[in-house]
Amino acid sequence: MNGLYLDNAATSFPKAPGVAEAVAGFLTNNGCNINRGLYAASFEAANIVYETRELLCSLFNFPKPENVIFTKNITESLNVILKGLLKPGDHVIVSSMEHNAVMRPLASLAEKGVELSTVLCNNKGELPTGDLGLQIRSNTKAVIMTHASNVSGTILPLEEVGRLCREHNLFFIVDCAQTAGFLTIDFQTLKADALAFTGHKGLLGPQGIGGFYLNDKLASLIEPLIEGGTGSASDSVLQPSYLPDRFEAGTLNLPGIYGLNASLKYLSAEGVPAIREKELSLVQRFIENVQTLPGIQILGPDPKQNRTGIASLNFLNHDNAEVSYQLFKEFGIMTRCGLHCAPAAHQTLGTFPQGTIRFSFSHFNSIQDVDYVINSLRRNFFTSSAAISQAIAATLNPTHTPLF
Amino acid sequence: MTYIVLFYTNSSAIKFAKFIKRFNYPGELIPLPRKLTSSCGMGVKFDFTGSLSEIISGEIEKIYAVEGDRYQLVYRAKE
Repeated sequence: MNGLYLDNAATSFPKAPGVAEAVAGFLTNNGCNINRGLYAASFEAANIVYETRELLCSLFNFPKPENVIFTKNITESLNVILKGLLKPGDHVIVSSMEHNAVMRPLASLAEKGVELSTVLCNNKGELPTGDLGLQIRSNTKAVIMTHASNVSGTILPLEEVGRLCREHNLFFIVDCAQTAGFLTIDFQTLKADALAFTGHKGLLGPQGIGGFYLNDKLASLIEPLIEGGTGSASDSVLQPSYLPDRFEAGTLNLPGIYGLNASLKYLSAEGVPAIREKELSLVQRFIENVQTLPGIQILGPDPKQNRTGIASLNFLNHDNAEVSYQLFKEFGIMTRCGLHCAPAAHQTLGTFPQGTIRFSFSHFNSIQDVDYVINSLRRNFFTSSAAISQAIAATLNPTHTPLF
Repeated sequence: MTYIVLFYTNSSAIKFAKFIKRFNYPGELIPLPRKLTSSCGMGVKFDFTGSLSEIISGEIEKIYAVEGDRYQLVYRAKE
């Protein structure tokens, strides 16, 4: 890819080493379905699928591989859980930092009679957990919460939320789109009942593969969204009640699972804490430098605090979309401008409807990449002196030369 | 004794095949004989001399003992 990709919160690039080869290897050398044909290549694919469930168990401390359900992405996972669980008259609680992957299914359920309460976070995106308890009613069934904001990088205190849910006998459903592969996530310590993940962001796998984990109690209450062939119990027209088959009708995304298998092995070898440390060091350096520039609002908590590897900026004296476009056109820097599919979060942070420019780093980025962005910002928006621009240009990272 | 184990899901069959491999019980994943099930799933055929109670779990639907070309039902999960 030409240029400097800083949109890893949308989807990561580059992927983990070995992912592309695993996908291509499956399509070239195997290509068989699982649970249908009963021959060696099919068994091999079935073993890789099962091993991928085990790798996810190891990453998230899920207790049972068969309770890992594959979907096409976390949006599908959340739809299956929310639409399968919530009935008219049920009440659910969310934070005001949720993504539309949670808010849109809930808005649609609200039209059918599901009641929804939102716990308002502060203007840094931080959740006042005390306020959560105040929202609990006699018909409250579940709390659904993002682990970290995709806008501000704020990490929500899910251990406290999980404890509160357990005390009040509420289902706790976690959206870890922004934290999987970045934070060490322990499903059992979180006291979660379900956790939804996607393969193509921090897990460094291909697009089109995601999933969720749910415990047996929740599984027995959720109606499947999709029903069909599973290669099991084929003498019956009824969807099997056993996991994972109950929620995995139809052929799985096997190339995607092969890719995810490779990326999970990479994450395991590298270690999530090392990846987090690297990304944090990059985003902290970025924020500390941006703080020296005038007229920029930096969203989210203090850079030294617990946060993810993203930074959202609001340019007070420029149009954010124009800045984002200039960064790409002049310097090849790819960012995400706008509302990030999270209008509720932007309302909470005070940046609705103008949105922000989000810079989201990967551990594959370098300090030189960060300095290149800072120098580009200085050059284009904070000085008119050609001499200074040239001096800065001389320091630019030669691997990320302007595209045009 | 050779047994054929039937599971509710193919994932459980794969899990059990990994289990016997780990403990070096000779055996493998097999397509289930039609006379044992009208499902189209896979099962595990393996040799085992211990007590079946050591291996039975909630994921197992049935176990048949194989005697020549005859199959003797030796375990069936309670519905």
